Amino acid sequence: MQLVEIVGTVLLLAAIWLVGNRRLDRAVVNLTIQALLLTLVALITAVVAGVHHMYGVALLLFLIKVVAMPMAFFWALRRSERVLEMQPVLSPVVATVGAVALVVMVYFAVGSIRLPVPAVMSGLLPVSLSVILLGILTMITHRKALLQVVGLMTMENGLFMLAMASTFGMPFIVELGIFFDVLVSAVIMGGLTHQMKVVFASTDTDRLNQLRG
Amino acid sequence: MEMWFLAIPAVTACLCLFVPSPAWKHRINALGGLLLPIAAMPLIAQVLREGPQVRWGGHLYVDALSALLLMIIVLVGFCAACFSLAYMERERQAGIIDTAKLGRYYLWMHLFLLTMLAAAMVNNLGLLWVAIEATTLVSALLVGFYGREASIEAAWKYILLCSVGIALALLGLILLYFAAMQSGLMTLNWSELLPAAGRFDPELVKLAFIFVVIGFGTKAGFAPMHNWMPDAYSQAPSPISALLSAVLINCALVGVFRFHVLVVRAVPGDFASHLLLGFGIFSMVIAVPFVLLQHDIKRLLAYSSVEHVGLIVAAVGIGSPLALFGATWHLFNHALTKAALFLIVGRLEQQYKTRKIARIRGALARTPWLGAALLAGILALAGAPPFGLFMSELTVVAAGLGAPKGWTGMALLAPLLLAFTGMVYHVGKMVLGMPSLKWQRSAAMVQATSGSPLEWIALLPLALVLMMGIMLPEVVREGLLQAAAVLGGAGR
Repeated sequence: MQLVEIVGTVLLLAAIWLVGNRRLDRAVVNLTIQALLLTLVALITAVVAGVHHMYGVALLLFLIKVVAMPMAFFWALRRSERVLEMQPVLSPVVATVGAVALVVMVYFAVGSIRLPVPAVMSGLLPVSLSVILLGILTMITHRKALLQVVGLMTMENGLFMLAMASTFGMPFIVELGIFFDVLVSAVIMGGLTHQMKVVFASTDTDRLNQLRG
Repeated sequence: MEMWFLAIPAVTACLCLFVPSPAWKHRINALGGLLLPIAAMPLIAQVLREGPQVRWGGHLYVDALSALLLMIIVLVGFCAACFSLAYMERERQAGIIDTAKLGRYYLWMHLFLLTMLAAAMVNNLGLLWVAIEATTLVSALLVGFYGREASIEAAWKYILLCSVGIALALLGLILLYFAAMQSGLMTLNWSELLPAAGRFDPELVKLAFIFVVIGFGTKAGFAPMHNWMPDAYSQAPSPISALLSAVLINCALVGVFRFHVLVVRAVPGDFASHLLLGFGIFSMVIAVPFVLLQHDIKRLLAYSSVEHVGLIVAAVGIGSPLALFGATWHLFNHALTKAALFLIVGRLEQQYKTRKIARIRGALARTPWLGAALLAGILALAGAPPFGLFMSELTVVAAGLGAPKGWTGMALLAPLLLAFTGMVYHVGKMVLGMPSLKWQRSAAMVQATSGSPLEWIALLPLALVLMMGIMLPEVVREGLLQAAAVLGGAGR
C-alpha cells in the first residue's frame, strides 16, 4: 500500500498548488489531475486488496470526474469568462505558505490524538484531512464561483481517498449514491453560476452581499 | 405493497411537468398532496402497533422515529401542496412566473418531498447521507426559484454551505464505517450497527460524531452554522419555506439523533450528550438578539427555527425520559406551527407586497382574518398557552431543571423568555394599531385580490397544535413516547 501513499502525497501537492493558483483554467486542469490520481488510488486498491467493486468505482471516477466534469467546466469557461486571470484574496505566495502551514498543523494534530488505526490509515489520514482542509481554504481565499466549486470538489477528493484507503470504499450502493449526488450538484452549481453571470454580469461571489441580519 | 406510496410524489412530479394546462398542473399537484397522507397512514399505523418495520430487503427501516418524521412530511406536504395551488396561481396571474416555471416548481417540490421521504426511511446511514444531500440539491433549485439577485445569493450560500457541511458529515460516516469494520461488521445499516455499537472503538466514534454533528448540524441549523437559514427561508416561495423549516431540518436532526444513539452506546461518559447540550444552548442564545432586532418577518421565523432546534437538541442532550418525550413532542409541535406560520406569512406577503415588519401595520383592521391567524400563529410559536408548544417547552424546561446540573433548565428558560418578548413585540406592531393614511387610500386596490378557500388549509396544522396543547390524544402520546424510546436507544 506504499504506492497509495505516494499517489496520495502527489494529490496533496496538487491541492497545495491549487490554493496559490491564479488562473481559472489551471484550476480546472488541477482538478482533473486530482481526479486522475484518485482514479489511480481506486485502481491500486482494487488490485492490491482484491476488492472487485473498486474497479467499478474507478470507472465511475474516471468517467465523471476525469472526463465529464472537466469538459463541462471548460465549456462553461469558454462561454462565460473572458479573463482567466483571477484576483484571489491572498497573494499566491502568502496563500501557498498558509497552505503548507495548514498541512504541517494537520500532521501534528493527527500525530497527537493517536487513533487506534492500522498503518495504512495512519499514513493517509493526515494526507486526506489536509486535502479536505485545503479544499476549504481554496473556497475561502477565492472570489470566483467556479473556484468555490473546485474547492468543494477538492474536499470530496480528500474524502474519497480516505474512504478508499481506510475501508476500501463505502458499500457499493452508497458509493453509487454519492457519485449521483456529486454529478447533480455540479450541474446545479453550474446552472446557478450561469444565472449569476446573467443577473450580476459577473461570477464574483463578492457581489452576493445583499442578505444580512 | 404499502411502500408504493413512494411512487406518488414521483408520478405527481412528472405529470405536473408534462401536463400543459396550468389548471391541471395545480389539480394534479393537490391530488398528489392529498393521496400521500392517505397512502402513508397504514404504514405509520403498523409501525405504532407492531414496532419497527423492515422493507425492501433491509434497505428501508421504519421505526417510531421515522414514523414521526413520515407523519410530519405527509401532513406538511399536503398543506404546502394545497396552499401552493392558490399561492402559485396568484404569482402566475401577477406575471411573476409563467406556465413552464409553474411546472418546474411542482416538479421540484414533489421531488423534494420524495427525497425527504427517503431520508426518513432509509436504513443505511450512507444512503441517509445521500438522501440528505439530495434534499439540499433539489431545495437549492427551489430557493433560487425566482432568479432574482437575492434569491440567487441565497441559493448559492445554501448549496455551498450545506455541501461543505455534508462533506464533513461524510468524513464522520467514513470513520464510523471504519470503526464498524474493525469490530467485524461490514455494513452501515443502522439496525445492524445498533446492537454492535458497544464494541466500537470509542475514540474513533467520538471523532466521527463531531464531524457528523457539524455536518448534519449545518443542515439542521445549529449555530454557528445557521447563516444560510434566514437567507434561504426568506427567498424561497412561502410553501417551500414551510417545507424547509418544518420538515427538512427535522430530517437532518434525526440523522444527528440516530448517530447519537450509537455514540451513547459506544462511548462511556457524557461526551455526546454534552456536545448536543452545548450546541443546543448556544443556538438558542445566538438566535435571541436576531429575533429581538429583526426587521423581516420571514427571517424572524428562520431565527425562531434556530432557537427551537436548539431546544430540541438540548433536550436530547439532557437525555432523561421526560426530556426525550419533550424533544419529540416539541419537534412535532414546532414543525406544525412553523408550517402554518410560513403559509400564513406567504399569504400576508402577497397581500401587503412586503416582508418588512415595520411596513405591515394594523393587520387586524386591514385584513381581520389574516391578522387573527398571524396573531394566533406567532403566539403559538412564541410558546404561549394554550398551544402545544407551550406544553412541550414546559416539559423540556422541567426536564432541564431536574437534570443533574440544575442550571440547564435556567439556561433553556432565559432565551425562551427573551425570544417570547421579541415575538410578542413584533406581532403587536404588525397586527395592532391603525393602518397609515397612505394605506387607507390604496385599500380598495388590495381588497381586489380575494383569497381562495384552499388557502385556509394553513390553519389546519395550527388547529392540531392547539388541540395538542389542550388535550394530547392517546394515540399521538403513544407514538411520541415510542419515538422518544428510539432516541433513548431502545431499539432492537
